[in-house]
Amino acid sequence: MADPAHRIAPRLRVRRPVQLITAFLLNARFLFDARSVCFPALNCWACPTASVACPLGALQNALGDMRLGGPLPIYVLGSMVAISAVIGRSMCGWLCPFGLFQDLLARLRRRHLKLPAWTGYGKYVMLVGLAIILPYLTSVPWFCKFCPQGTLQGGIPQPLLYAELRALIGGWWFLKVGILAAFVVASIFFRRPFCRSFCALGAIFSLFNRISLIRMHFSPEKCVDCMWCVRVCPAGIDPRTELGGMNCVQCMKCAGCPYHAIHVTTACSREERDGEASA
Amino acid sequence: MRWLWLPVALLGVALLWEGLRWEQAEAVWRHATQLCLACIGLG
Repeated sequence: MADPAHRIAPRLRVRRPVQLITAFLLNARFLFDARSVCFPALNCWACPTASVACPLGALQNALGDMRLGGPLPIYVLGSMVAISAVIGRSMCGWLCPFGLFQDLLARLRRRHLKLPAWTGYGKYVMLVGLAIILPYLTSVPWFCKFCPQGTLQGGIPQPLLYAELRALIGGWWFLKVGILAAFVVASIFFRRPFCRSFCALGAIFSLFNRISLIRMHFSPEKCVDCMWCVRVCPAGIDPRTELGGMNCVQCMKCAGCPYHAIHVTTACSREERDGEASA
Repeated sequence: MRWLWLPVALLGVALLWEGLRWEQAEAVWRHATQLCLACIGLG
């Protein structure tokens, strides 16, 4: 009989096509242009083919406008809150093009190193410092100035397309390319280092992981510590202890557990009711 | 905690709706259709 650890749940085969189709649709301006819609994933609107708006870019610009008398950015906040209350951080695991990019880079190595636990707090520093306080005080989107996704989707293609932009290249552009290169290398050795330590958008979504409708459930009595979930986790966490936590991207890959110790559930399910009753 | 997602989701929808009424989607469009020099490392 085949080792049950080698069985692959159907949902594992669905995630990659979903990521690829989403990455295509978010960059399909030749098909449709919906740049007034904040799609909850890190997809830079400086990309020549971007078809939706980046919620983090929109948030920073709105905060900058706010200091000059603009309104509270309730449209941007509402678009993020409404969806993450339902699906938590699943956008990172299923829909984000930069998450896909890191997942593909991670395939270059079989074994990955583990990032220290404190790196998980980096994304909250980025959120508060670069995406909220500095944009409000200076009206400059500071997170965008460092964002490697902006370099990948806008910083490299735009100067290639337009000679007048090539003439403007200076020190900051090289810094951004260096940050992108650092994350490319880091993504080969660590799992999703950007999502874990840098992404301010992921930091917002992670706040909703514990309360969202869609949740992950771990049954310790079924776990035999085979470590299958730890090996396959694209976020590099230990799902036995960190499932649904701040670093879990809710990709649901661990729900393919050969011993059925982890599965996808909802806040209305019996497990959640029993768990709340026993707490 | 189990049902907290519901009021939070409703709050999100209400914010989204009000934001649309206040024409904030147009402001997003304005920013999104300008070339973001900060994003591409040129400003």
